[in-house]
Amino acid sequence: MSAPVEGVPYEEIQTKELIGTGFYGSVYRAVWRNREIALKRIREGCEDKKIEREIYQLTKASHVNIVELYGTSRHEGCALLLMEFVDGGSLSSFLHAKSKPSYSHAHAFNWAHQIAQGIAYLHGMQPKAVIHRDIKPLNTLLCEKGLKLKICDFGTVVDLSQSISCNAGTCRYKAPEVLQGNKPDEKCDVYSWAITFWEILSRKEPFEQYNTLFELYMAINEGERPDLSCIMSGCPADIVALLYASWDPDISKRFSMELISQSMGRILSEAGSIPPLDFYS
Amino acid sequence: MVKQVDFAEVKLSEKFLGAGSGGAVRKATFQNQEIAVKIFDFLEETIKKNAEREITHLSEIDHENVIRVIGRASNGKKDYLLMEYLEEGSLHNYLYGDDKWEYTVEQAVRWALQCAKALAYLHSLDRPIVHRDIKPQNMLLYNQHEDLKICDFGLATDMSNNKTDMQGTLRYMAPEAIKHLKYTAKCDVYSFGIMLWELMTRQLPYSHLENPNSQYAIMKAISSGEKLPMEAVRSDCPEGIKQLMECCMDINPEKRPSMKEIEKFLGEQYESGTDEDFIKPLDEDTVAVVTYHVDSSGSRIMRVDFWRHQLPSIRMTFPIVKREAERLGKTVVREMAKAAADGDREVRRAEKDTERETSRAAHNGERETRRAGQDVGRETVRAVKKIGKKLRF
Repeated sequence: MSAPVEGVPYEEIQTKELIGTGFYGSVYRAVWRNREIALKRIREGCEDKKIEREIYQLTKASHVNIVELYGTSRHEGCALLLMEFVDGGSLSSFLHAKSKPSYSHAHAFNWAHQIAQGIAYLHGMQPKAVIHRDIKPLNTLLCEKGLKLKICDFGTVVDLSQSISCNAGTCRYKAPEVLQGNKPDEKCDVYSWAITFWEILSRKEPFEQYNTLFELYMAINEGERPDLSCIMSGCPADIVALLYASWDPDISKRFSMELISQSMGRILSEAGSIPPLDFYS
Repeated sequence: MVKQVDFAEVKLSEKFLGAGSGGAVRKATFQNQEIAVKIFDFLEETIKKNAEREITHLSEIDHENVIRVIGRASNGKKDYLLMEYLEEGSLHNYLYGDDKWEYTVEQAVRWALQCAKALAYLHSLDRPIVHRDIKPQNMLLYNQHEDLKICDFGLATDMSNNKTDMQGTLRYMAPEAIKHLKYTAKCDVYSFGIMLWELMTRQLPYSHLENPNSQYAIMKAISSGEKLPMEAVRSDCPEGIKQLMECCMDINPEKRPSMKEIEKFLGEQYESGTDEDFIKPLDEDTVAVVTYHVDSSGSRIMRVDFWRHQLPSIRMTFPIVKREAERLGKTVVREMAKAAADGDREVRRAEKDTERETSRAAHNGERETRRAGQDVGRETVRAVKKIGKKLRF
């Protein structure tokens, strides 16, 4: 890949339909230099060091499981990010689609493995590890008919210490030490990975029995974890052990992402073939 | 209804004032006056709803302690809410900013009273409004930091309409809002009580916790009924104010006073002002009595009565405004000279009325009166400077 282009003239970008909106802005399908891209438009007022941090981190990241940044631009006071377009939609929309498309153990393990590989790459970046801080199914995009997966949206984490701008949808995946206002380290991504993997295995939203932030905060901080009896039948015991080791409340006991990546690689190699998903045909 | 304004007349500046709930706020110029503009990006549906809600609420409000809406403008893609601009910044910035100005209990009560007045007004509207985010960041200061206006109505809602998601700022949220998402006017009362404690301690609420930055620790403290430490309150805070704090922060919403009751109570506290009044003997014949009042237009005034033995008392009234401090000193000196002259006339009139007075006695009386006048002048200037220093003149 080539280095991202700074200051892309807005006239070069042909903006098309709105794909989605998030806390920090909107995402559009667009075309730039004859290439289909995702144009991320940062909402005015949210442009600060957080966005600069994301851009800086993206310029350095180069991995098959991480969304690529092509360039940056500006228009009507808004910062724009020109991102790789990933055609399969989020893992979240696949898992919870009304048609309940089927997938196998192998698919589930494959996705978990690729997320782990992407995060392990970030944690291994030099000179300083990059912490994603917002790993969840919504921030993982599927492509190549569900065989490949890419992580997106990192660096744009809301500061929790001053106000409740964190909504329940994101808190469900947050590590307890992050909810307690501590400075995040790499292990918080490990916790979020585990909760995400549980969701892949159970097809349920974690902590769905809790409706308010108060309930979520109290439950997560008092050690409650998703119910492992809900996961796909026939899962190897290794998976259960891996989840326990990844969402341990004691940070020092949590596995590193590198170790998880290796473990998932081994588990995946024993899981059999991974056919393209019918959902995308 | 908020008046529609031609967007071409609004000149947005680069200065970013902050991000209130729902949108960015920028400085701008409109009809040669500086204003604040909140920008709503209508491409996002939730923000559009918030914008409409905020604009609807603000259009109904007309109160001196609530930020004033000037108009509304649109350029097709974004909506702009034009508001008055108060350049002195927020109460939060005053409390914790770099300048660290001092303030008196009386000033804290003044801020609290104005906030109470605004909230009592909002809660009393035909369609009552609950603000839901009462905190020092949402109080803008003006008039040399002495007065305030409430801003940021992005979270405000009609009392009849309960939201399902948690909104607001945790440190100031009522327990029932956190646990059960029940928002009523009594939630604003609770937040007001927290802020009143903050004004009297100059500490961020819950900073006494072992992990004060932990949302979980704060939630746990609030839900378990843990109280803010009253021993942190400044020693010159009146007992009545402390009791008011505790009433406002009662865990049972029904036991909290209404904002109207709070307004009345604080108004009485503010009017009495016994902590500030003082009596100062100037010499064996003259006493200065200094009291503080609020005149009919709501301005603070200082009243100085000079009581003199066997002579009529003299009353002087001074507005307490920073830029008047110098003129005040000069006025006092000038008034003292006039008082001395008046004293002279009184002495001469007394002389005519009695045959037993000697010319020597008359001369002595005249000299004593002039000296007393000068003493009073000097003491008053000193007193004014001392008070001015206390009040940050």
